[in-house]
Amino acid sequence: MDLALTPEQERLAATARQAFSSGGPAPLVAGSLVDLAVVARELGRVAGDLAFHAEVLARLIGWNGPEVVAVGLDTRDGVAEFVGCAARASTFLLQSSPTTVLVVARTDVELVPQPTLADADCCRVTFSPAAARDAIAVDVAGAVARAAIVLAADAVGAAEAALEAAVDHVKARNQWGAPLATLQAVRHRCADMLLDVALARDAVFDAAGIADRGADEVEVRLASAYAMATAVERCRRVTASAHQLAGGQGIDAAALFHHWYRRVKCAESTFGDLRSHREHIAAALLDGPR
Amino acid sequence: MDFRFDPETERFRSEVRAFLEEAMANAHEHADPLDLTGLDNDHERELHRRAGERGWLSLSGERRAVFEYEVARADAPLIDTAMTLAGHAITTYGSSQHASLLQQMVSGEVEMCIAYTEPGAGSDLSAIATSAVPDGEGWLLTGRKVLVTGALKADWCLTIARTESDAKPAGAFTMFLVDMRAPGVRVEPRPTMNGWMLADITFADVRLDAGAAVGVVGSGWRQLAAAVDAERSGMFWLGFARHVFDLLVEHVRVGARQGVPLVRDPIARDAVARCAVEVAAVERVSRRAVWTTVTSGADAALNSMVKVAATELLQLLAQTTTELSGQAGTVLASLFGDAPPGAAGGGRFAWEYLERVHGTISVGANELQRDAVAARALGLAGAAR
Repeated sequence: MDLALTPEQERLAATARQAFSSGGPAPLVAGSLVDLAVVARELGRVAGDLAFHAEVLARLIGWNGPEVVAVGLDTRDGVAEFVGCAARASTFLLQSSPTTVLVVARTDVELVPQPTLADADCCRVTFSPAAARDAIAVDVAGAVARAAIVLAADAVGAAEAALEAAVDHVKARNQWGAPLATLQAVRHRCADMLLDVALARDAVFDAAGIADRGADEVEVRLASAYAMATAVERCRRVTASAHQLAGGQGIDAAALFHHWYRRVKCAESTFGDLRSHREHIAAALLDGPR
Repeated sequence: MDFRFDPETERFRSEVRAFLEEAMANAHEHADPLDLTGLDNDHERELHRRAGERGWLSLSGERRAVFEYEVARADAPLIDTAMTLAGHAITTYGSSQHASLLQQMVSGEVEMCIAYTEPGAGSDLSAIATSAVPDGEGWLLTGRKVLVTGALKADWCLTIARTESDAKPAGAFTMFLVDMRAPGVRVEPRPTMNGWMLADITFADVRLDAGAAVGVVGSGWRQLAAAVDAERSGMFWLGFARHVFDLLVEHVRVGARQGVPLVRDPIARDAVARCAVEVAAVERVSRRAVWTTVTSGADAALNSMVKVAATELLQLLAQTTTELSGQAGTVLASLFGDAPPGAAGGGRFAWEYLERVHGTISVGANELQRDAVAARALGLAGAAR
């Protein structure tokens, strides 16, 4: 067992934190899954630019171009639905089969905005497969499973930051002459939030570690499903609880609470929804040989 | 980041498993008619001696965690051993007078119980009223302890009594080791809702010699807190959880509801997956607690989180298994007895539904654990309760 981040990973976290706090770019978009998770967690903390995740998935798919990229997975008959960050992209990676991703230029697609809770640039992308500049042969599910681990790390960062902000609030906010933090109902909610965050974080970094040590694809995909099913559900609950604790101050548009709350909600249905992750787990337990 | 135990620890796990498979193979022949959750006294003591011979009662760190996990998974009565219950206190605070007792504890030749709870002192142990007053060179112990696990089989009892009537808890209590055969010790069986045989102990002017005090007179409160923190690794809960989860998977693989195989029922499949996710998540945090203890010393807040998560996980499993198995899930069997016809999970699901009530109450109610997490890990200082 080794459950600590390495000093290098701690340094990477600090670098990412500094970069994101000043609105800078991610220190890396490709590398080990643990490194990517470390960076994504910092991004989630500041509710930063979701284009990071499109770029991470693009690299996992095997695309290395310099252009701003968006990735469409929910693709049928020349229409890709809910393509994140599409309005800003100059190149589109659009899945056309479980093992094929088409590379299509901005000039060859039509966009219709589909703004989501967390991504104003999400679009429906209409394209002609014949117009593709290139096709990448790749196991899309394997790439998505890895991107999902990174996205789950983002949710962990959002939940951690929401918990910290909520704790700061209940320590500072006085009602009936005492901090909210003295109320047992408040304290117990905070304890449950910490438990949620802790269990989510370990699920994500466990999965990242499994992917990094070259486990077989079946194991990596299962670990990814566990990471998403654990982290997204628990982190979503934390961001909702943070709102409850922050009260009226938390619903202010200028406060970060709703950005964390929106972000994790959207993560819940990105790269597979919760039911599909759990069905993947159920199949592994129930359908194979004992 | 790697949650796996090292290969050597996994080899040790295999060794423990092989032992338990053999040792528990005929367990049902030794079911204790008085304690539906246990084996008869002779068989239990033999198991303890055999484990003691192998050095398994004085394990620490990852090996101890793995041992407790496997023992719980096999329903073997090797969790509440003398070393588990009193090992920390005797090892840490015992004097040279306790050396031979400690040796017996390590070799599994002696059974012990711990008696802290009183009629008026459950969660709030500072209300303990049992008293020990100086009597010549020794002490005179008077009071009543309740809900004591293993008291009927124990040779010795580790208890705590008030030695300063007015002092604050920090200086008021002293730990004592009491011979259960001493005059004035009376043990009354107290069956619980699911067939556990706990007991109440009355100390009526029990004469203790000076050596009965464990540690420093007046420091019992601090010693007790440390002993409770060190009592178990937390992994034994996960062993129980894994056992029940495996039964759940088997039930869904072979069971049916209104003629439809459960394995094709999306709701049953989702329920199994939910439990799988939770079992895995709580197992990770339990491993983290073990790893933290080994690498940097016990983290009390983390251990509290494990306790909350694990005991509530067991309740989730009890509810899920019984809900998915309908009336068959309400048919009850004792732990080592024969299952009635049609009992889901061999009667284990119904038993779990009863058994998992006390986990969130005992060893510090989960409300206290949540308070401790809020205070220790988040710096949320509480007001008076």
